[in-house]
Amino acid sequence: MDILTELKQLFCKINPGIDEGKITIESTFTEDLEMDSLGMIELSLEAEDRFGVNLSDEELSALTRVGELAELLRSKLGR
Amino acid sequence: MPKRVVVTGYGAVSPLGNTVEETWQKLITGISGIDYIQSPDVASFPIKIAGQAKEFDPLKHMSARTAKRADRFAQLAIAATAEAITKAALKINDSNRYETGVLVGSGFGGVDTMEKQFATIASRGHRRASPLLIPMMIADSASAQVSIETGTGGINLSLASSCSTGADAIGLAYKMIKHGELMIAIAGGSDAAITPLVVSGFAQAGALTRRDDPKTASRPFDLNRDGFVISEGAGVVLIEELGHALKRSAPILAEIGGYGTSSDAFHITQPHTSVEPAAIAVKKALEEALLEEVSYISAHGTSTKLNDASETRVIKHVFGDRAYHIPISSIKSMVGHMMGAAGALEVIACCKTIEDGIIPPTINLRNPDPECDLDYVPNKAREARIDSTLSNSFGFGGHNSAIILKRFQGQV
Repeated sequence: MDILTELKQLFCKINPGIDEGKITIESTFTEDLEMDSLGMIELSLEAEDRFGVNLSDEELSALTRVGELAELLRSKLGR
Repeated sequence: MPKRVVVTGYGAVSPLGNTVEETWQKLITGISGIDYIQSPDVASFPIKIAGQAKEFDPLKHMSARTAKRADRFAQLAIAATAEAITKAALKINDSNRYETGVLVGSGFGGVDTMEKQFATIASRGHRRASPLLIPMMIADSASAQVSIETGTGGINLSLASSCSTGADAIGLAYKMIKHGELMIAIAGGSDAAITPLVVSGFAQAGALTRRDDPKTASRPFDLNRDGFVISEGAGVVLIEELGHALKRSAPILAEIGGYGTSSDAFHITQPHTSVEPAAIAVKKALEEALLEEVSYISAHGTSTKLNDASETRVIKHVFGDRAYHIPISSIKSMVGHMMGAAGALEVIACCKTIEDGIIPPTINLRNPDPECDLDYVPNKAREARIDSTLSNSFGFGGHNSAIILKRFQGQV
Protein backbone atom coordinates (compact mmCIF):
# COMPACT_ATOMS: atom_id res chain seq x y z
CA MET A 1 0.00 0.00 0.00
CA ASP A 2 1.43 3.41 -0.87
CA ILE A 3 1.91 6.03 1.77
CA LEU A 4 -0.84 8.31 0.50
CA THR A 5 -3.44 5.52 0.70
CA GLU A 6 -2.34 4.71 4.22
CA LEU A 7 -2.47 8.38 5.19
CA LYS A 8 -6.00 8.67 3.87
CA GLN A 9 -7.11 5.80 6.10
CA LEU A 10 -5.28 7.30 9.00
CA PHE A 11 -6.93 10.71 8.63
CA CYS A 12 -10.34 9.06 8.42
CA LYS A 13 -9.61 7.23 11.65
CA ILE A 14 -8.64 10.45 13.39
CA ASN A 15 -11.54 12.43 11.97
CA PRO A 16 -14.32 10.03 10.95
CA GLY A 17 -16.38 12.91 9.58
CA ILE A 18 -14.20 13.53 6.53
CA ASP A 19 -14.65 12.10 3.05
CA GLU A 20 -11.72 9.86 2.17
CA GLY A 21 -12.28 10.43 -1.55
CA LYS A 22 -11.61 14.14 -1.15
CA ILE A 23 -8.19 13.75 0.48
CA THR A 24 -5.35 14.59 -1.91
CA ILE A 25 -1.71 15.61 -1.54
CA GLU A 26 -2.95 19.20 -1.76
CA SER A 27 -5.35 18.87 1.22
CA THR A 28 -4.47 21.14 4.12
CA PHE A 29 -4.53 19.83 7.68
CA THR A 30 -6.45 22.65 9.32
CA GLU A 31 -9.00 23.63 6.66
CA ASP A 32 -9.59 20.50 4.58
CA LEU A 33 -9.05 17.83 7.23
CA GLU A 34 -10.27 19.87 10.23
CA MET A 35 -7.25 18.87 12.28
CA ASP A 36 -6.84 20.80 15.51
CA SER A 37 -4.04 20.53 18.08
CA LEU A 38 -5.58 17.34 19.54
CA GLY A 39 -5.88 15.82 16.09
CA MET A 40 -2.23 16.55 15.31
CA ILE A 41 -1.12 14.68 18.43
CA GLU A 42 -3.34 11.75 17.45
CA LEU A 43 -1.65 11.91 14.05
CA SER A 44 1.80 11.50 15.55
CA LEU A 45 0.62 8.54 17.69
CA GLU A 46 -1.11 6.86 14.75
CA ALA A 47 1.87 7.41 12.45
CA GLU A 48 4.14 5.87 15.03
CA ASP A 49 1.88 2.80 15.25
CA ARG A 50 1.41 2.45 11.52
CA PHE A 51 4.83 3.37 10.14
CA GLY A 52 7.06 2.82 13.15
CA VAL A 53 8.55 6.31 12.92
CA ASN A 54 8.60 9.18 15.36
CA LEU A 55 7.23 12.53 14.27
CA SER A 56 8.28 15.32 16.59
CA ASP A 57 6.08 18.30 17.41
CA GLU A 58 8.53 20.52 15.47
CA GLU A 59 8.32 18.34 12.38
CA LEU A 60 4.52 18.23 12.50
CA SER A 61 4.05 21.92 13.12
CA ALA A 62 6.15 22.71 10.04
CA LEU A 63 3.65 20.87 7.80
CA THR A 64 0.51 22.29 6.18
CA ARG A 65 -0.42 19.78 3.47
CA VAL A 66 -0.86 16.03 3.21
CA GLY A 67 1.78 15.82 0.44
CA GLU A 68 4.43 17.30 2.76
CA LEU A 69 3.65 14.68 5.38
CA ALA A 70 3.87 11.91 2.77
CA GLU A 71 7.31 13.24 1.69
CA LEU A 72 8.54 13.40 5.28
CA LEU A 73 7.41 9.82 5.92
CA ARG A 74 9.02 8.58 2.66
CA SER A 75 12.33 10.11 3.64
CA LYS A 76 12.13 8.63 7.15
CA LEU A 77 11.22 5.23 5.81
CA GLY A 78 13.77 5.36 3.02
CA ARG A 79 11.11 4.59 0.41
CA MET B 1 -40.26 39.11 42.22
CA PRO B 2 -39.57 35.39 41.77
CA LYS B 3 -40.36 34.01 38.33
CA ARG B 4 -42.47 30.97 37.59
CA VAL B 5 -40.62 28.13 35.89
CA VAL B 6 -42.13 25.61 33.48
CA VAL B 7 -41.02 22.45 31.73
CA THR B 8 -41.33 22.83 27.97
CA GLY B 9 -39.32 19.86 26.74
CA TYR B 10 -37.56 16.68 27.73
CA GLY B 11 -35.38 13.99 26.28
CA ALA B 12 -33.99 10.70 27.51
CA VAL B 13 -31.96 7.69 26.56
CA SER B 14 -32.59 4.73 28.84
CA PRO B 15 -32.41 0.95 28.89
CA LEU B 16 -36.01 1.09 27.60
CA GLY B 17 -35.39 3.26 24.56
CA ASN B 18 -33.77 6.21 22.87
CA THR B 19 -36.55 8.70 23.53
CA VAL B 20 -38.87 9.70 26.34
CA GLU B 21 -41.89 8.34 24.46
CA GLU B 22 -40.34 4.89 23.89
CA THR B 23 -39.22 4.74 27.50
CA TRP B 24 -42.56 5.96 28.82
CA GLN B 25 -44.67 3.50 26.84
CA LYS B 26 -42.65 0.62 28.25
CA LEU B 27 -42.75 2.09 31.77
CA ILE B 28 -46.52 2.19 31.80
CA THR B 29 -46.67 -1.30 30.35
CA GLY B 30 -44.47 -2.58 33.17
CA ILE B 31 -41.61 -3.76 30.96
CA SER B 32 -38.12 -4.21 32.37
CA GLY B 33 -35.10 -2.87 30.48
CA ILE B 34 -32.63 -4.93 32.50
CA ASP B 35 -30.77 -7.64 30.63
CA TYR B 36 -27.58 -9.66 30.56
CA ILE B 37 -24.53 -7.44 30.11
CA GLN B 38 -23.42 -7.18 26.50
CA SER B 39 -19.79 -6.17 26.47
CA PRO B 40 -16.58 -7.49 24.97
CA ASP B 41 -15.05 -7.68 28.44
CA VAL B 42 -18.08 -9.20 30.18
CA ALA B 43 -15.78 -11.72 31.88
CA SER B 44 -14.25 -8.89 33.90
CA PHE B 45 -17.57 -8.01 35.56
CA PRO B 46 -18.53 -9.46 38.93
CA ILE B 47 -22.21 -9.44 37.88
CA LYS B 48 -24.11 -10.63 34.84
CA ILE B 49 -26.95 -8.11 34.53
CA ALA B 50 -27.34 -4.37 33.98
CA GLY B 51 -29.53 -1.80 32.30
CA GLN B 52 -27.68 -0.91 29.13
CA ALA B 53 -28.92 1.55 26.53
CA LYS B 54 -28.53 -1.20 23.97
CA GLU B 55 -30.24 0.46 21.02
CA PHE B 56 -28.28 3.70 21.31
CA ASP B 57 -26.35 4.62 18.16
CA PRO B 58 -24.43 7.87 18.66
CA LEU B 59 -24.16 8.47 14.91
CA LYS B 60 -27.92 8.99 14.74
CA HIS B 61 -27.56 11.95 17.08
CA MET B 62 -24.25 13.69 16.28
CA SER B 63 -21.44 13.86 13.76
CA ALA B 64 -18.88 11.08 13.67
CA ARG B 65 -16.24 13.57 14.75
CA THR B 66 -18.22 14.63 17.82
CA ALA B 67 -19.01 11.01 18.68
CA LYS B 68 -15.35 10.03 18.48
CA ARG B 69 -14.36 12.84 20.81
CA ALA B 70 -17.08 12.24 23.41
CA ASP B 71 -17.25 9.57 26.09
CA ARG B 72 -20.48 7.57 26.04
CA PHE B 73 -21.95 9.56 28.95
CA ALA B 74 -21.53 12.76 26.94
CA GLN B 75 -22.99 11.13 23.82
CA LEU B 76 -26.07 10.12 25.80
CA ALA B 77 -26.46 13.68 27.11
CA ILE B 78 -26.13 15.16 23.61
CA ALA B 79 -28.87 12.84 22.32
CA ALA B 80 -31.25 13.55 25.23
CA THR B 81 -30.68 17.29 24.83
CA ALA B 82 -31.47 17.23 21.13
CA GLU B 83 -34.77 15.52 21.87
CA ALA B 84 -35.63 18.04 24.61
CA ILE B 85 -34.91 21.03 22.37
CA THR B 86 -37.01 19.56 19.56
CA LYS B 87 -39.88 18.83 21.94
CA ALA B 88 -39.73 22.40 23.24
CA ALA B 89 -39.54 23.78 19.68
CA LEU B 90 -36.74 26.02 20.91
CA LYS B 91 -34.25 27.80 18.66
CA ILE B 92 -31.07 28.82 20.41
CA ASN B 93 -29.67 31.86 18.62
CA ASP B 94 -28.16 35.28 19.21
CA SER B 95 -31.40 36.54 20.77
CA ASN B 96 -31.35 34.07 23.69
CA ARG B 97 -27.89 32.44 23.71
CA TYR B 98 -26.52 34.16 26.83
CA GLU B 99 -29.76 33.65 28.76
CA THR B 100 -29.64 29.90 28.15
CA GLY B 101 -27.62 27.70 30.48
CA VAL B 102 -26.59 24.08 30.64
CA LEU B 103 -26.59 22.22 33.96
CA VAL B 104 -25.97 18.59 33.09
CA GLY B 105 -24.32 16.57 35.82
CA SER B 106 -22.83 13.13 36.09
CA GLY B 107 -22.01 10.83 38.94
CA PHE B 108 -18.97 9.35 37.24
CA GLY B 109 -17.95 11.38 34.19
CA GLY B 110 -15.95 9.65 31.47
CA VAL B 111 -15.01 6.62 33.50
CA ASP B 112 -15.11 4.28 30.48
CA THR B 113 -12.50 6.42 28.71
CA MET B 114 -10.42 6.56 31.87
CA GLU B 115 -10.37 2.79 32.32
CA LYS B 116 -9.49 2.07 28.71
CA GLN B 117 -6.75 4.68 28.66
CA PHE B 118 -5.35 3.46 31.94
CA ALA B 119 -5.07 -0.02 30.44
CA THR B 120 -3.24 1.44 27.42
CA ILE B 121 -0.79 3.33 29.62
CA ALA B 122 -0.24 0.32 31.86
CA SER B 123 0.61 -1.89 28.91
CA ARG B 124 2.32 0.54 26.52
CA GLY B 125 3.54 3.47 28.60
CA HIS B 126 2.45 7.04 29.18
CA ARG B 127 3.47 8.23 25.71
CA ARG B 128 0.56 6.22 24.33
CA ALA B 129 -2.10 8.20 26.21
CA SER B 130 -4.61 9.70 23.81
CA PRO B 131 -4.72 13.50 23.57
CA LEU B 132 -8.48 13.01 23.87
CA LEU B 133 -8.18 11.31 27.27
CA ILE B 134 -8.75 14.43 29.37
CA PRO B 135 -11.39 16.10 27.19
CA MET B 136 -13.37 12.86 27.16
CA MET B 137 -12.85 11.87 30.78
CA ILE B 138 -13.37 15.08 32.74
CA ALA B 139 -16.60 15.27 34.69
CA ASP B 140 -17.86 18.38 32.90
CA SER B 141 -17.50 16.99 29.41
CA ALA B 142 -21.22 16.19 28.98
CA SER B 143 -22.31 19.74 29.85
CA ALA B 144 -19.46 21.14 27.76
CA GLN B 145 -20.32 19.02 24.72
CA VAL B 146 -24.01 19.86 25.10
CA SER B 147 -23.19 23.56 25.10
CA ILE B 148 -20.93 23.20 22.06
CA GLU B 149 -23.58 21.23 20.17
CA THR B 150 -26.44 23.60 21.00
CA GLY B 151 -24.69 26.96 21.11
CA THR B 152 -25.77 28.00 24.61
CA GLY B 153 -23.85 30.91 26.12
CA GLY B 154 -25.08 31.08 29.71
CA ILE B 155 -23.77 29.11 32.67
CA ASN B 156 -22.25 25.76 31.66
CA LEU B 157 -22.03 23.61 34.77
CA SER B 158 -21.62 19.99 35.61
CA LEU B 159 -22.39 18.96 39.14
CA ALA B 160 -22.10 15.72 41.03
CA SER B 161 -24.20 14.55 43.94
CA SER B 162 -24.07 10.85 43.22
CA CYS B 163 -27.50 9.33 42.69
CA SER B 164 -29.27 12.67 43.13
CA THR B 165 -27.19 14.47 40.47
CA GLY B 166 -29.94 14.70 37.85
CA ALA B 167 -32.48 16.02 40.36
CA ASP B 168 -30.04 18.58 41.74
CA ALA B 169 -29.13 19.81 38.26
CA ILE B 170 -32.82 20.40 37.50
CA GLY B 171 -33.41 21.90 40.94
CA LEU B 172 -30.53 24.35 40.68
CA ALA B 173 -31.48 25.34 37.15
CA TYR B 174 -35.02 25.96 38.41
CA LYS B 175 -33.70 28.20 41.20
CA MET B 176 -31.55 30.16 38.75
CA ILE B 177 -34.50 30.86 36.47
CA LYS B 178 -36.77 31.59 39.42
CA HIS B 179 -34.37 34.25 40.63
CA GLY B 180 -33.74 35.80 37.25
CA GLU B 181 -30.24 34.47 36.54
CA LEU B 182 -31.32 32.56 33.45
CA MET B 183 -34.28 32.50 31.08
CA ILE B 184 -33.86 28.96 29.74
CA ALA B 185 -31.97 25.92 31.03
CA ILE B 186 -31.00 22.54 29.67
CA ALA B 187 -30.78 20.50 32.86
CA GLY B 188 -30.38 16.88 33.85
CA GLY B 189 -27.90 14.09 34.30
CA SER B 190 -26.04 11.46 32.40
CA ASP B 191 -23.99 8.40 33.26
CA ALA B 192 -22.44 5.50 31.39
CA ALA B 193 -20.59 3.73 34.15
CA ILE B 194 -21.28 0.06 33.50
CA THR B 195 -17.55 -0.54 33.48
CA PRO B 196 -15.41 -3.20 35.19
CA LEU B 197 -14.01 -0.71 37.71
CA VAL B 198 -17.29 0.89 38.77
CA VAL B 199 -19.26 -2.34 38.84
CA SER B 200 -16.55 -4.07 40.86
CA GLY B 201 -16.55 -1.20 43.31
CA PHE B 202 -20.31 -1.23 43.77
CA ALA B 203 -20.32 -4.99 44.13
CA GLN B 204 -17.62 -4.88 46.80
CA ALA B 205 -19.57 -2.20 48.66
CA GLY B 206 -22.53 -4.59 48.77
CA ALA B 207 -24.82 -2.22 46.90
CA LEU B 208 -25.69 -4.39 43.89
CA THR B 209 -28.24 -7.16 43.74
CA ARG B 210 -26.80 -10.66 43.60
CA ARG B 211 -29.74 -11.92 41.60
CA ASP B 212 -29.05 -13.01 38.07
CA ASP B 213 -32.52 -13.04 36.52
CA PRO B 214 -32.49 -9.68 34.77
CA LYS B 215 -36.23 -9.05 34.62
CA THR B 216 -36.93 -9.62 38.30
CA ALA B 217 -33.69 -8.47 39.94
CA SER B 218 -34.73 -4.89 40.63
CA ARG B 219 -37.60 -5.14 43.12
CA PRO B 220 -38.03 -1.94 45.11
CA PHE B 221 -40.03 -2.28 48.34
CA ASP B 222 -40.28 -6.07 47.95
CA LEU B 223 -39.36 -8.14 50.99
CA ASN B 224 -36.75 -10.04 48.98
CA ARG B 225 -34.94 -7.04 47.49
CA ASP B 226 -31.18 -7.24 47.91
CA GLY B 227 -29.59 -4.34 46.04
CA PHE B 228 -29.86 -2.20 42.94
CA VAL B 229 -29.18 -2.93 39.28
CA ILE B 230 -26.69 -0.55 37.69
CA SER B 231 -27.89 1.15 34.51
CA GLU B 232 -26.85 3.85 32.12
CA GLY B 233 -28.62 6.65 30.33
CA ALA B 234 -29.36 10.34 30.25
CA GLY B 235 -32.34 12.49 31.15
CA VAL B 236 -32.58 16.15 30.23
CA VAL B 237 -35.38 18.68 30.69
CA LEU B 238 -35.76 22.01 28.98
CA ILE B 239 -37.12 24.49 31.50
CA GLU B 240 -37.83 28.15 31.09
CA GLU B 241 -39.31 31.23 32.64
CA LEU B 242 -43.10 31.16 32.23
CA GLY B 243 -43.40 34.51 30.43
CA HIS B 244 -40.73 33.48 27.97
CA ALA B 245 -42.48 30.19 27.29
CA LEU B 246 -45.86 31.87 26.80
CA LYS B 247 -44.42 34.53 24.52
CA ARG B 248 -43.04 31.98 22.13
CA SER B 249 -46.11 29.69 22.45
CA ALA B 250 -44.01 26.82 23.76
CA PRO B 251 -45.70 23.60 24.88
CA ILE B 252 -46.05 23.87 28.67
CA LEU B 253 -45.86 20.36 30.09
CA ALA B 254 -45.75 21.13 33.81
CA GLU B 255 -44.68 23.79 36.26
CA ILE B 256 -41.86 23.30 38.73
CA GLY B 257 -43.34 24.00 42.12
CA GLY B 258 -40.43 23.53 44.47
CA TYR B 259 -37.02 22.07 45.15
CA GLY B 260 -35.59 21.18 48.54
CA THR B 261 -32.25 19.74 49.57
CA SER B 262 -30.41 18.66 52.67
CA SER B 263 -27.37 16.67 53.70
CA ASP B 264 -27.31 13.76 56.13
CA ALA B 265 -23.81 14.54 57.46
CA PHE B 266 -23.79 10.96 58.61
CA HIS B 267 -22.33 8.16 56.45
CA ILE B 268 -20.73 7.87 53.02
CA THR B 269 -23.07 5.14 51.78
CA GLN B 270 -25.88 4.55 54.26
CA PRO B 271 -28.97 6.68 54.66
CA HIS B 272 -29.32 8.43 58.01
CA THR B 273 -30.97 6.34 60.72
CA SER B 274 -33.09 9.42 61.51
CA VAL B 275 -35.79 10.50 59.07
CA GLU B 276 -35.10 14.14 59.80
CA PRO B 277 -32.54 15.16 57.13
CA ALA B 278 -34.38 13.62 54.17
CA ALA B 279 -37.72 14.84 55.51
CA ILE B 280 -36.36 18.37 55.63
CA ALA B 281 -35.54 18.25 51.92
CA VAL B 282 -39.08 17.12 51.13
CA LYS B 283 -40.64 19.70 53.45
CA LYS B 284 -38.63 22.53 51.89
CA ALA B 285 -39.87 21.52 48.45
CA LEU B 286 -43.48 21.31 49.68
CA GLU B 287 -43.25 24.71 51.36
CA GLU B 288 -41.88 26.32 48.23
CA ALA B 289 -44.68 24.73 46.20
CA LEU B 290 -47.29 25.87 48.77
CA LEU B 291 -48.51 22.28 49.07
CA GLU B 292 -49.17 19.99 52.00
CA GLU B 293 -49.53 16.85 49.95
CA VAL B 294 -49.05 15.61 46.41
CA SER B 295 -51.00 13.31 44.13
CA TYR B 296 -48.05 11.06 43.25
CA ILE B 297 -44.57 10.31 44.60
CA SER B 298 -41.82 9.05 42.32
CA ALA B 299 -39.69 7.24 44.87
CA HIS B 300 -35.94 7.03 44.84
CA GLY B 301 -36.72 3.34 45.46
CA THR B 302 -33.40 1.74 44.60
CA SER B 303 -34.25 -1.84 45.68
CA THR B 304 -31.67 -1.82 48.45
CA LYS B 305 -32.72 -3.00 51.90
CA LEU B 306 -31.79 0.29 53.54
CA ASN B 307 -33.05 2.86 51.05
CA ASP B 308 -36.55 1.54 50.53
CA ALA B 309 -37.29 1.11 54.23
CA SER B 310 -35.78 4.46 55.12
CA GLU B 311 -37.56 6.28 52.28
CA THR B 312 -40.86 4.77 53.43
CA ARG B 313 -40.26 6.10 56.95
CA VAL B 314 -39.44 9.55 55.53
CA ILE B 315 -42.66 9.65 53.48
CA LYS B 316 -44.72 8.63 56.54
CA HIS B 317 -42.96 11.22 58.68
CA VAL B 318 -43.67 14.02 56.21
CA PHE B 319 -47.24 13.13 55.24
CA GLY B 320 -48.49 11.34 58.35
CA ASP B 321 -51.60 9.21 57.79
CA ARG B 322 -52.08 10.75 54.35
CA ALA B 323 -48.98 8.83 53.24
CA TYR B 324 -51.14 5.70 52.97
CA HIS B 325 -53.33 7.34 50.33
CA ILE B 326 -50.61 8.71 48.03
CA PRO B 327 -49.62 6.43 45.15
CA ILE B 328 -45.86 5.91 45.11
CA SER B 329 -43.79 4.06 42.53
CA SER B 330 -40.21 3.38 41.62
CA ILE B 331 -39.40 3.27 37.92
CA LYS B 332 -36.03 1.81 38.96
CA SER B 333 -37.92 -1.48 39.08
CA MET B 334 -37.90 -1.26 35.26
CA VAL B 335 -34.91 0.88 34.23
CA GLY B 336 -32.60 0.00 37.11
CA HIS B 337 -30.46 2.71 38.66
CA MET B 338 -29.27 5.14 36.00
CA MET B 339 -26.94 6.80 38.51
CA GLY B 340 -26.64 10.55 37.83
CA ALA B 341 -29.39 10.32 35.22
CA ALA B 342 -31.90 8.61 37.54
CA GLY B 343 -33.30 11.72 39.20
CA ALA B 344 -33.70 13.47 35.87
CA LEU B 345 -35.59 10.60 34.25
CA GLU B 346 -37.79 10.41 37.35
CA VAL B 347 -38.69 14.10 37.02
CA ILE B 348 -39.56 13.43 33.38
CA ALA B 349 -41.72 10.48 34.45
CA CYS B 350 -43.52 12.79 36.90
CA CYS B 351 -44.18 15.19 34.06
CA LYS B 352 -45.64 12.34 32.01
CA THR B 353 -47.93 11.21 34.84
CA ILE B 354 -49.39 14.73 34.95
CA GLU B 355 -49.75 14.88 31.15
CA ASP B 356 -51.14 11.40 30.56
CA GLY B 357 -52.97 10.67 33.83
CA ILE B 358 -51.29 7.35 34.33
CA ILE B 359 -48.91 6.17 37.05
CA PRO B 360 -46.09 3.79 36.11
CA PRO B 361 -46.00 0.73 38.39
CA THR B 362 -43.38 -0.67 40.71
CA ILE B 363 -42.83 -4.06 39.07
CA ASN B 364 -41.54 -7.19 40.81
CA LEU B 365 -43.36 -6.26 43.99
CA ARG B 366 -44.69 -9.72 44.91
CA ASN B 367 -43.88 -10.13 48.60
CA PRO B 368 -44.68 -7.01 50.56
CA ASP B 369 -42.16 -5.99 53.21
CA PRO B 370 -43.90 -5.16 56.52
CA GLU B 371 -41.52 -2.20 56.79
CA CYS B 372 -42.71 -0.91 53.42
CA ASP B 373 -46.48 -0.76 53.81
CA LEU B 374 -47.52 2.14 51.57
CA ASP B 375 -49.23 2.08 48.17
CA TYR B 376 -46.39 1.42 45.71
CA VAL B 377 -48.67 0.86 42.69
CA PRO B 378 -47.54 -2.76 42.46
CA ASN B 379 -46.96 -4.42 39.11
CA LYS B 380 -49.58 -2.64 37.06
CA ALA B 381 -49.92 0.95 35.92
CA ARG B 382 -52.84 2.91 37.31
CA GLU B 383 -54.93 5.65 35.75
CA ALA B 384 -55.42 8.71 37.92
CA ARG B 385 -55.60 12.45 37.54
CA ILE B 386 -52.31 13.78 38.86
CA ASP B 387 -52.04 17.47 39.68
CA SER B 388 -48.82 17.47 41.67
CA THR B 389 -45.84 15.15 42.00
CA LEU B 390 -42.89 14.73 44.31
CA SER B 391 -39.70 13.13 43.06
CA ASN B 392 -37.26 11.97 45.73
CA SER B 393 -33.56 11.47 45.10
CA PHE B 394 -30.98 10.36 47.62
CA GLY B 395 -27.31 9.89 46.89
CA PHE B 396 -24.25 8.18 48.34
CA GLY B 397 -22.69 10.83 50.54
CA GLY B 398 -25.98 11.82 52.18
CA HIS B 399 -27.46 14.03 49.44
CA ASN B 400 -31.23 14.42 49.77
CA SER B 401 -33.21 16.19 47.05
CA ALA B 402 -36.87 16.63 46.35
CA ILE B 403 -38.52 18.22 43.33
CA ILE B 404 -42.18 19.05 43.01
CA LEU B 405 -44.00 19.45 39.71
CA LYS B 406 -47.51 20.83 39.36
CA ARG B 407 -50.01 20.75 36.58
CA PHE B 408 -49.73 24.10 34.80
CA GLN B 409 -52.81 26.11 35.71
CA GLY B 410 -52.27 29.20 33.58
CA GLN B 411 -51.82 32.70 34.90
CA VAL B 412 -52.68 33.03 38.56
